[in-house]
Amino acid sequence: MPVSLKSRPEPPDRPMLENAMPPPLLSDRHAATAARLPGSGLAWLGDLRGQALASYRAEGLPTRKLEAWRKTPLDHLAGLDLAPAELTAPPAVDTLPPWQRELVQGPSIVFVNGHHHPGLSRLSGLPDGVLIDSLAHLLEHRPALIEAHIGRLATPKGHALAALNAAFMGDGLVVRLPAGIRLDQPLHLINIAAPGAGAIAIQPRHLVILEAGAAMTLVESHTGLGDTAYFANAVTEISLAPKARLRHIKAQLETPAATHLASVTVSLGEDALYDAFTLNSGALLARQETYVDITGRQGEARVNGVYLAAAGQQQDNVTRIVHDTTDSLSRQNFRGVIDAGGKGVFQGKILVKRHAQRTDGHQLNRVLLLAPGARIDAKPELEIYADDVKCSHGATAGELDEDALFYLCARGIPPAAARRMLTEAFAGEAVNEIADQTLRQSFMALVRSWLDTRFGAPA
Amino acid sequence: MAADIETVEQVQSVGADYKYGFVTDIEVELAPKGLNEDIIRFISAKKSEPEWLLAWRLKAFRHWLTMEEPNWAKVGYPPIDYQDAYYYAAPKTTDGPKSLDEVDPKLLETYEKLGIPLREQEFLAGVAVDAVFDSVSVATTYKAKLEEQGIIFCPISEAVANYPELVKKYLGSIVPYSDNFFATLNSAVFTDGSFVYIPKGVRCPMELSTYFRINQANTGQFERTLIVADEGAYVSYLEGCTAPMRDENQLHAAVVELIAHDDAEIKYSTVQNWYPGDEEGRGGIYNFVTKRGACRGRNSKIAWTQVETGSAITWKYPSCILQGDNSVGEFYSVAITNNRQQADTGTKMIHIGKNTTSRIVSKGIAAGRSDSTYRGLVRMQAGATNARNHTQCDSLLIGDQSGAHTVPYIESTNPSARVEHEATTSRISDDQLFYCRARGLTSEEAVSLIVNGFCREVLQTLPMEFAVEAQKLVGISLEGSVG
Repeated sequence: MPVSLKSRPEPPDRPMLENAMPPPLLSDRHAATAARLPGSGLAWLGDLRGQALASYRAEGLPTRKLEAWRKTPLDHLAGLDLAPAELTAPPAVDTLPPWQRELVQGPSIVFVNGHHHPGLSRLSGLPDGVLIDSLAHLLEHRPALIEAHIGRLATPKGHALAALNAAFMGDGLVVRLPAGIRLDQPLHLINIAAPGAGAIAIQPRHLVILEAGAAMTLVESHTGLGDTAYFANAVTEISLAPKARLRHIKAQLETPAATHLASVTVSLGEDALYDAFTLNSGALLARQETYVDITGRQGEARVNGVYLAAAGQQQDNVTRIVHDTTDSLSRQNFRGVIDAGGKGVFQGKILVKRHAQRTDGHQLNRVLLLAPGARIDAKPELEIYADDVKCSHGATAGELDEDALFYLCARGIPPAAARRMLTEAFAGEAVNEIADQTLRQSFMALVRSWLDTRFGAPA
Repeated sequence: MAADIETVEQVQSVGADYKYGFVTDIEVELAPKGLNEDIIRFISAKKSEPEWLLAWRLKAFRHWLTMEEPNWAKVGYPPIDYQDAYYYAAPKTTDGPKSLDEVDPKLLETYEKLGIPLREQEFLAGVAVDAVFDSVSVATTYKAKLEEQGIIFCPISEAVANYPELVKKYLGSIVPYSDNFFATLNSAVFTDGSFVYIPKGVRCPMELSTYFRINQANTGQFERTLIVADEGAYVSYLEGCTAPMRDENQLHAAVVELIAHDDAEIKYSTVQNWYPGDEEGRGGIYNFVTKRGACRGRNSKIAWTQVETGSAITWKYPSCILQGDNSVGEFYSVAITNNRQQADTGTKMIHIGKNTTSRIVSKGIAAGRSDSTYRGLVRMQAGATNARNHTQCDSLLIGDQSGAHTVPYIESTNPSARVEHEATTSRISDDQLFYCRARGLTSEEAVSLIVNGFCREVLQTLPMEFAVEAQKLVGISLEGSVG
């Protein structure tokens, strides 16, 4: 199904009249799903979903009247007849796409259309006490555990997409590591969308809870099958206790018919580390929102990413790092490569609260525009209320450095190969933020295969 | 550093209070309070305006009624009652002054207190001054000498009468009547301001200057400045502002339009020192100003320099539209907030033509319980081949109750255009203070020295006349913020 993001011209500066249409995803068949979602017998969950639904009904999908969505149209979603994937039986997917199979060595958990797929998942040999399971399963068997964590960090108020997700959440990954446990191998969360004939909406909810001193690496990969449109609206809540360390690496290679919206909300305890890297190269429209609240002293947040946009694609990155305590540190390093007809959006914020003295925050967003018709809208933001801080940000946009190109060409490298080499190095500077060498190489390979489609394979 | 000794003396002499907070008691003619079409007709009639200008004002007013006050800036203030203000206040005289001798001596005294003795300036300083007192221009000095070269420098109301074609051609061409809430209000009720026209190939031989003062209680000031530099012309224009101390807030919603044709250059410098309110945030000016310049011609240049130390609230984004190929836009800003002041200021650089370049240097200093925000836009349009921008925003926090924020927007659709943005936030380090104190400076002097160093890049771009004043202001504005 051909879908275009340009369904409406840029909005004027002044707000437009309210749209009288009801928000998408609220047709009768969606409303009827509530009673059949996993855990529908639980009163507290019913309340949570009910409030979220009311909140979404009131707000609707974000429009470009909202500052955070000025550059990101969602109008195309209204034109899709999205069926709730939560209630349809997952289609028969019996093999994983090769790139996903090869991305990581280690345990894996697979979700097809947001449903846990035990047949493809590999979860043996985990240390005692480690809980890795599906949300749907736990809602049935250990609802108290879920009740204690779900909806605590990603609150629906003022966040229509989190509300929409909360209204329909039924499945997803739940990880809980007991104190002091370290997983040696990364856990691979594999997401496959297989919409079949009709467009679907997938609303996964993931929970990651690391108790004191626990450590692991979570690798997420996303892809889709076929060319039917689908809408993935994932919400992840991550709670890191003191000295916990989570490395969260994500590859988003959805199909060109996909709209991929993901928000990650992290609460960071004392001396804890959240180290994230996201590669966005798939989907018609992808938006990665990362919200980190550093509440523990000496907490450390690293949020990095590479975004690659080809013709017709839009890649968004939204970050908000809140320094809510003393002596915390944050680093952000983003690289965007935008081709003709592609669009990148970066909205990054460092917020330092009044009492957050001795904060050290840095943010960098650099974008390469490969050809005329490429577009970047960046808004790196600092909001600072404490005086004893070191905070800075930098942002650049432009083409490859001519001197560097000349240097390579002067040494006999053909211009096309030189451009490719420099572009690869440009993106590589953010990929290098991935601490694990094997993963770094796997992700660099994904960047290279994108470059192959743009520049042709290297000679 | 001489300026710092002077600063200290000045601080002592004014007792750290707002130096310009006196009221001049002169007879004033006021239009009735409130805002409606009759008031606009009254203003227009008072100024003996032609029909087209009244029609333009009314069009703006009707449009304004449909608009909402913007709320995106990081400033907070109670709702403004636009009906509870006077939109016209003029010193009572029969006709416009023919020469300085006819100007009310009390007015001249006021300006002397402000440090701009018009006579002295006319004869000695060589700066031509157009002084705007509440709503009307009081006198324009040095006019005759400028006329010899064909330069027009006069109150805009006079320009409407004497050069209607020029005014009609350019008024609203950069900031249209429908531009934004405050500019539209200004279009409806503007009462005076300066008009400058520099003919082809003329380099204005002296700095032109306007001094704005809000004197009357309960008035708003809505001046409108229009500067046109024809082909190859050059002009440097200075603007200064003060107001008396009052407990209530007063609105200042000005519009400035600059037009630079081929090879022309306009340098616009502002030292804004409106009354900032007292330590608890009572009173002070709401400074909601729209300033925009268009580099229409090839190789043209517009440079904005601003030193913003006053006003309770500042909402101001002097901008450049870089249409002509090779045109240059510059923005140098120092914004100092203390006590409860709020400043949301920055610039827009819209690159349209080829090889256009822009440079932004913004220094924000927040002390006391104030908030200072840099908000800016750099846009590279598809045709802006080989355009360049460099932006440097630095914020300095003094004390742990203030806030400094940076909100840049960067939009590029041309790969060959290069945009670079850097921003930092820090405070005056104990080491720096200790170093100065160890050499015998008081902490006040030390802060003034360090902050002046922090702002030097911007202050250096000011014309001499303002640079000295600005350096002193930096010291005075931060009085009481340390120790």
